[in-house]
Amino acid sequence: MTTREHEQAVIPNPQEFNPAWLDDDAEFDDDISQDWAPQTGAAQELPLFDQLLRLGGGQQVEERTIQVESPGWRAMPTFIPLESWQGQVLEVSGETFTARLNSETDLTAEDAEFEIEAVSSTDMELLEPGAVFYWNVGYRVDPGGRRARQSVVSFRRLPAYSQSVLDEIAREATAISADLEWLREDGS
Amino acid sequence: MSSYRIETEGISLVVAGAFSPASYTPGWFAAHKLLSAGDAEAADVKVVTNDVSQFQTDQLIVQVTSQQIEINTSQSPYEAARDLMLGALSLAGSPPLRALGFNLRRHYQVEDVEAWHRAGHAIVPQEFWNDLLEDPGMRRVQMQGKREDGLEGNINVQLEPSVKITNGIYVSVNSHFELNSEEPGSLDLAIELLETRFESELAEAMRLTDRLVEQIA
Repeated sequence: MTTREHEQAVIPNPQEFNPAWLDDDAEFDDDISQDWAPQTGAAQELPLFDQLLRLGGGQQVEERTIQVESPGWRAMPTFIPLESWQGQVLEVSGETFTARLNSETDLTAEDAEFEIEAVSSTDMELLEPGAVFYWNVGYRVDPGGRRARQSVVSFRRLPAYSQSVLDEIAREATAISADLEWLREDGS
Repeated sequence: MSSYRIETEGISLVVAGAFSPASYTPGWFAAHKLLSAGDAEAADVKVVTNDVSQFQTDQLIVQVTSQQIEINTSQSPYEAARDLMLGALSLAGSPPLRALGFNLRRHYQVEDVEAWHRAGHAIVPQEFWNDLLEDPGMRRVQMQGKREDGLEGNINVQLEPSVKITNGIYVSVNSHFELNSEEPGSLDLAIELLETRFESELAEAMRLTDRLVEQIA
């Protein structure tokens, strides 16, 4: 399938468009060619598959953006956050766990208790003292526009360090410790 | 209802550099504990080739080409996209990186069609164009500003009619950082920015879009 064929295949019914601050009877203009986009910017809708192959280097990346979602992507709900915390698990006990919460808005810290039922099954393997998680409260808006208040607990996933990286960290820590010891003996 | 309301919101992270798309599969991310096994198994894989890899989980959309990694999400927590990018970069070896972008995109709904028209005219006054075009209408405005933190890059703001929301305004903010792939340490800088600037860059982008729409809606 050529690039042009692919683009034409996904241009939707123009009547579904509300293209601009034009009169309501304005015709749809499909000449959206060579719209400049910032080098790391995101289009209003996710770019078509074929566009990804034409992203290049240089000062600017020109990205042809057609303002529709690729029909391949599953419509996702959106979340409009109202309040966010980052937490660290202190203790897991029975059907609850306690955590130290740090607010991302007012930088305060407090301890709180959560029900383990609030943890997704996919995150249960991560629930242990010391684990970091995010707690967000806001509105979930489904693709149909329905809103519901939602509270989400999600545990942080970062790559496990390889043994070589751990060894390097240990070497650096030893070196720093030796430097600090020298400073203490020096009385500085 | 106030004069405007956020109807949908999403963020994306984009890193430009040199990558091997075929490596970035749901299984690979799960093997490194960056995705749960369940999310990886349930992922909708669009394509995995040497040129491009695309897949979607319940929470994230990942797109990788030989020149960039892009991770999108519209769901809480946004930090999951950041953490996935951190993991992908940490495990990518030492690829030369050219740029990093934090992106916020929002669809606002304004009160009515008159307010929607007023918003467009506030950004691009019709009077200037009336002598040049018949029934002029604003399709898209892109503005670029300098970074205020002394780092190389810029702030890019885009505003246009929403294609999702009736009487809607789409606003996106791209906080762009140049990483200079020819200098050693571009990977370290990218990781540092992701770890230390993610929340603040998005918070600033949210404030900017709110202020913008408040002034025109």
